[in-house]
Amino acid sequence: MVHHRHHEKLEKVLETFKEDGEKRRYNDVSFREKTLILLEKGFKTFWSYKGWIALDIIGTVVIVALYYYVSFIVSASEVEKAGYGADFFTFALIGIAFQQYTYSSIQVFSHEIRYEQENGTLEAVLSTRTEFPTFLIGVALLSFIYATYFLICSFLVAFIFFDPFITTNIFSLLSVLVLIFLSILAHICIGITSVGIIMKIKEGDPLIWLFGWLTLLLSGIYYPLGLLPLYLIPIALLLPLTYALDGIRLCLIDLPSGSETLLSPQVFNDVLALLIFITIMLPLSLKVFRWGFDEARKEGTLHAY
Amino acid sequence: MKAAILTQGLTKRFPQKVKGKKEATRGKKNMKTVVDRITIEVPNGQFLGLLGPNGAGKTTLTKMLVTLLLPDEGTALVNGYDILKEPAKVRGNIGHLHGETGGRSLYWRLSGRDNLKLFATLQEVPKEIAKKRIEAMISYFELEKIIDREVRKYSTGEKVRTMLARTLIHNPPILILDEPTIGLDAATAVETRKFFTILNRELGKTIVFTSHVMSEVEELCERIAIMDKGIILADTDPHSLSALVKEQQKILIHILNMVDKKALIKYLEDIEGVKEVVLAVERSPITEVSVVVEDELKALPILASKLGEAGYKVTSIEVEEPTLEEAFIKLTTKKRE
Amino acid sequence: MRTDELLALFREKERTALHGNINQITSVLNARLKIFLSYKIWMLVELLNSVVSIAVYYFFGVMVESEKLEAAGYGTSYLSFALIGIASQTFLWTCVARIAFVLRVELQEGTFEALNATRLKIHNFLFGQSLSGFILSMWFFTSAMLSGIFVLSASLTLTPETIITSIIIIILMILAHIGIGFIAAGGVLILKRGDPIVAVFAVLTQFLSGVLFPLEVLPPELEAVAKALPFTYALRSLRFALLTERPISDPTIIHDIIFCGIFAIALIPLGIWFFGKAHNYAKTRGTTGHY
Repeated sequence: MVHHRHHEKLEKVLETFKEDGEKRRYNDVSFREKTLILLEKGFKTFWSYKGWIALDIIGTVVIVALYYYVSFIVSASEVEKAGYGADFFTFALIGIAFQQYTYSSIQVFSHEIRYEQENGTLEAVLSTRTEFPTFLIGVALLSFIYATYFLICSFLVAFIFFDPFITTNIFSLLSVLVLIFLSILAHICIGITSVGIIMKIKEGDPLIWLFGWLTLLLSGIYYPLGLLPLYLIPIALLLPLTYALDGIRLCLIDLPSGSETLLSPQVFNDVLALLIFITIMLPLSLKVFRWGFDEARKEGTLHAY
Repeated sequence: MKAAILTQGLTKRFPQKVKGKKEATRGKKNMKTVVDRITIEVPNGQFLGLLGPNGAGKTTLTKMLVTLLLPDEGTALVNGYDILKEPAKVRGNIGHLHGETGGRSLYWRLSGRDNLKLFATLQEVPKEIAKKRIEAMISYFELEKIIDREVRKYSTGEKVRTMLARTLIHNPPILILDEPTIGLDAATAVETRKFFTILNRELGKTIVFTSHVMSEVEELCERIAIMDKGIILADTDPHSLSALVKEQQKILIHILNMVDKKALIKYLEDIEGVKEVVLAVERSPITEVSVVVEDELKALPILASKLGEAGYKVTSIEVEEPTLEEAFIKLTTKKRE
Repeated sequence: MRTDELLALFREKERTALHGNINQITSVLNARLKIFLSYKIWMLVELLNSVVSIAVYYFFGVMVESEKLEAAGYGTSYLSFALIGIASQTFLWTCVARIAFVLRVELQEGTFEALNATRLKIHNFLFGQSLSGFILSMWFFTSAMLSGIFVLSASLTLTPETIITSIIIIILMILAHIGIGFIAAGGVLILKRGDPIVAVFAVLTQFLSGVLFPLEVLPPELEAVAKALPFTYALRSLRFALLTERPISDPTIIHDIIFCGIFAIALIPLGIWFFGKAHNYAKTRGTTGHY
C-alpha cells in the first residue's frame, strides 16, 4: 500500500518533468519577476531578524536627539556663514541622515555578497540561469527600501520632537528628489567597484572604508567645508557626497531668502558635478566588477570570504 | 546525437601554497595543476561515475562545468553550449548539487517552500509549471510537514531532500552531483541513489556522479572514470573494474592464542605460492592474518594443512572478498610508476 | 610518524592534566588573540578608524562655544572633551559586545560544541573571551588617545597620578558593564542570533551619558535617567582626572568609583548565573551545535 502510494508520487514528479520537455523556452521569466522574488526573499530573511529593526529605530531616534542636544553648545555662526541658514540642528540632521543613506548605497552590494558567501548560498545562486548583475540588483533593492524608510523616519522624528527648518516649497522638494537620485547613482558606482575588489582580495572592504573615512571627515557632514584647511579641500571636491549635501541642504533648508531649486547656479553646479562623477565612474565600476568576478572564478574563490 | 558533456583539454591550475608563506605566490613554478587537460565525452543519458580520492580534482572539474570556475585552458560544451561563451544557458541545462556544502546552499532563514520558489524563478521556470512541480516534489520527498518551516530547523536528511528538489526544479537534462550522499544516513543514501537511477532510466537524464566510495559508484553507474591528481586514470565500466581486482587475491586466517608473531610470518612466507603476509589485527585471543597469494584456490588447502602441521590453532580460514578500494589503490600506483 | 610510534605515545601515562583555571583562561585567550591577529589589516583599519572619528571633532570643536563647556566644569577644549567621551565609550562597548559576538561566531563555526566536549569550565570560557575583548579593544582606545594627543594636540593633563587614576576608573568601568556582556552572550545561546542588548546599551549611553555634550543641556527627566547609568559616572570622573587634573582622592571621583564598583558586584555574578542558565537551556534543547 505504502509502496503503491510512493510510486504514485513519483509518477507525479516525473509527469511535471515530462510536461515541458523539449519545448522549454528561455526567458519565460522576466527581470521584474526575478527582482520581485528576490525582494520577497530579502524581506523574509530580514523579518527573521526583527529584533534588529527595533534597534535601528532606537538608533535613529537617538542620533537625531544627540545632535539636537549637541546644537545647544554649538554656535551656528559658521553654518550661517556658509549659507545654510542659522540653525545648526537642521544642518546636522540633513548631513547625518543623508550620509547614512548614501553610505548604505555604497555598502549594500558588498554586504549582500558577503552575506551570501557566509551562508554558502552564493554558488547555488550563481549556478542558476540568472545572471549575476540581475541577482545583485534584486538583493540590493530591499536595502534601498529600508534605507529610505529610515531616512523618512529620521525626518519624522526630527519634525515631531525638534522642529527643524525644512522648506515646504514643492519645487525645492522636487529638486531634492533629483539630487537624491543622482547621489544614490554616484554611490552605487563606488559600491559596485568595491564588490569587484572584495571578490579578488578577500580581506575587508578597503574601498568602502576609505570612502567612509574621507566622507566622514571631508564632505561637510557635521561642519561646513569652510572649517577645513585649504589643502584638504581638493579631496573634498572629489567626493560626490560633498556636492550632494551642498545641493540637498540648499534646497531642503528653509533659508532666510527661501529655499533654492535646481535652477539656482550653485545647485546646478552640484548636479553637474554629480553627473560628471557618474559618467566617469559607472563604466569603470562595471569593468572592475567584471574583473573581480572573473578573477574569483579563475581562482575558485567565489564562495570564500 | 550530440554529447551531453564534451570537454576539450580542460585544465585548471591553482597557485600552490608555499610553506612559511601564507600568501599564495604567483608564477608558473608554484602553480599546482588540479585538472590536467581532461578530454571526456559523456553521451546523452549516460550515468557516469567520477571516482577519486579527496583532492583528485573532481570538484574543480564539476565546478568548471557549472561555470562557477573559469578554466585556464580548454573548454567544454554542455548540451551544446560553450561554458565560456554561453554560461547562463549552460547553467540552465545543469542541476548542480554539491554535497560537501551540506544544507548551506539553501537559505536557512527562509522556509523550504520559499527556497524552492526562489530558485524556480532564478532558473526561469514559468510560474504554473513551477507551482505544480514544487507540490509534486514536496509530496514525493515527503516534506509536507516541514516545508513551511525555516530551513535552519530541518534535520540533515530534510535539508538534503530539499536540496535535491532545488537541484531538479528546472528539470535540467544534465545532473552534476558532487558527492551528493555525503553526510547522509545509510537508509536515506540508499533512497537517494535509487531516485537518481530512476531519473536516469525514466527521464534519460545524463548524470555525472562524483564520489570517493567505490561501492556506490559501482552500484549506480554504467561507466566509471577514475580520477587522481587531475587526470583520468581509467575510463571503464563496473564489470571490468571488478575483473581488475581479481588479480590480487587474499586469504584471511584467524588463529587462536598465538605467541610468536615473527615466527608465524616467517613460516607463512616460506609456504609455496605466498606472495606477501600482512599481520592485520590482534583481537585477543584471536590473531587475524591476511596473506596475499597467487592463486587462492590452490593456496587455501596448502595453507590450512601446513598451519595445522605446525600446531597453530586455526579457527577459520577463508578467501577474502576483493574490494574495489584495493583495485583503486592498485590502479593509481600502477599509473604513477 | 608510524602507527606503532603513535600508539606508543597514547599508551604513555597521562602526566599533566591541564585543567587549572588559569590555564583554561589563558588558552581561550590565546586562541582568540591568534584568530584576531590572523586578520592582518585589522590593526591598521582600527587605527585609521580611531583617527578619523576623533579628527571629525577636531573640526567640529571650532563651532562649539567653549564657555558652555567651561561652565560644566570640563575645561575649554571640546576636542579633549569629545576625545575622552568617544574613546572610552567605544572602548567599553566593543569590549562588552565582543563576548556575545565571538560566541555567535563559535556557534556558527561549530567550535563552541567542540569546546563544550572538553574539560573547559564555562565561566573560564567567559573570562578568557572577556580578557581577549579587553586587550583587543585596548588598541582602539590607545590609538584614539594617542592620535588625539599627538596628531590633533588635544590638551589632556597626563601626569603619573592622572594616568593611574584613569586606569583605575577604566578597569572599574569595564567591570561594571561586563556582566551585561555575559547576559548578552546568554541571549545568543538561547536565541541563536546576534543579540541586540549590548547595541541598545551602547546607543543609549552614547546619547545619555554625555559623550558629546555636557549633561546639563539635557531636560531634567533625561538627566535623571543618565544619573542611573554607571557609564555617566565613569566618564565624568575620567574627564575630571584628565581635563582638570583632579586627584583620585577627590570626593566626586571616589563616589563614582564606588558607584561603578557596586554595579560590578551586582552584575558580574548575575551575568555568570544567567549565562549558566542559558547554557543549560541550550544543552537540554540540544542546540549548542545549531545556529
